[in-house]
Amino acid sequence: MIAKLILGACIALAPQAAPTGNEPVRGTESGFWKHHSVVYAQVTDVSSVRPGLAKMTLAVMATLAGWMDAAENPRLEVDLLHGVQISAVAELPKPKTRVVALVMRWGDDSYTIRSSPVVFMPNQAAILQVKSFDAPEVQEIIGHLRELRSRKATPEAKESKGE
Amino acid sequence: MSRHVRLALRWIVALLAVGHVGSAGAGITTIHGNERGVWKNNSVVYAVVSSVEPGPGARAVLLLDVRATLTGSFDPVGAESLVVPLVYGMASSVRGYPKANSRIVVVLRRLEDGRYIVPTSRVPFMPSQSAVTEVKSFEDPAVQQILTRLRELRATRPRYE
Repeated sequence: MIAKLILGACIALAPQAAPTGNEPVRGTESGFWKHHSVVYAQVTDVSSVRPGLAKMTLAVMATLAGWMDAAENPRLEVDLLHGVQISAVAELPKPKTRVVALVMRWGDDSYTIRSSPVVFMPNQAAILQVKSFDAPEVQEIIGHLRELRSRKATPEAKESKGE
Repeated sequence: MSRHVRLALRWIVALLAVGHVGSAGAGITTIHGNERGVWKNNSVVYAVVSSVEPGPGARAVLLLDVRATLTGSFDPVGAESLVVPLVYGMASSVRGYPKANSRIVVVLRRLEDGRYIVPTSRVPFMPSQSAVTEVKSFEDPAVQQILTRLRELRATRPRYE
């Protein structure tokens, strides 16, 4: 009985405790865009917390999809799991580089970069280093996101958009 | 036509012209960017002008491919393209319409029926206070300047207007 209760509590708490599962992220999940945004940003700082976990500061320059307001949230501190054993993000981006990142808000003011594979990103990871906004990868991501969001006629997609 | 009638017609035309310019001038309001609730219906976006359809008078219709949002609630991937009417010239802060295939930073206003327009208002945080400005690319320093001004605005307290 106690074991069942503990197991139940673990399952209930799992999404909050571990927002970095390994299920592929598709962008069509129910309510997905209420908590996620795709942003174009410059990496201003990267620091290692422990092996495989880093804290990164992003200067957000623009929003490609989602609720994030680039001017209202100019500096984002995000957690990032990295390394092939534990994350789809193989390596950390370097400071001063430009990135496109899938950012997830959880809690009031906490942000994380998903460690799960992300289907609509060219490298299948939630963060991608790019040369500039005009890089073909950025346009590719915008194209994929438009395809996803154009399915808004379906009730699932409307729910996913938070409509 | 008698001299008196011609004189009267001239006066009517002149009065109409003055009235038109006067009302147009009075119609140009200002979006400071820190008014309370201003970003609920306004957004600043980076877009590619897919095509331009000049209309009658100082009007044009732009077909925009919005690539990114700098501020506001507009979702760039919500639609493939966006049809936006633009008023330029004396009745607007916008001096002319942008060329097709140019890249622009533009203020978009969402109307109650869901359509978008380019407001005619003066916009002090944009170059030349115009609601539309052409840029070379997203990495153009003008885009960064606009973003910096927007960040400053969003960090300050809203105006009670």
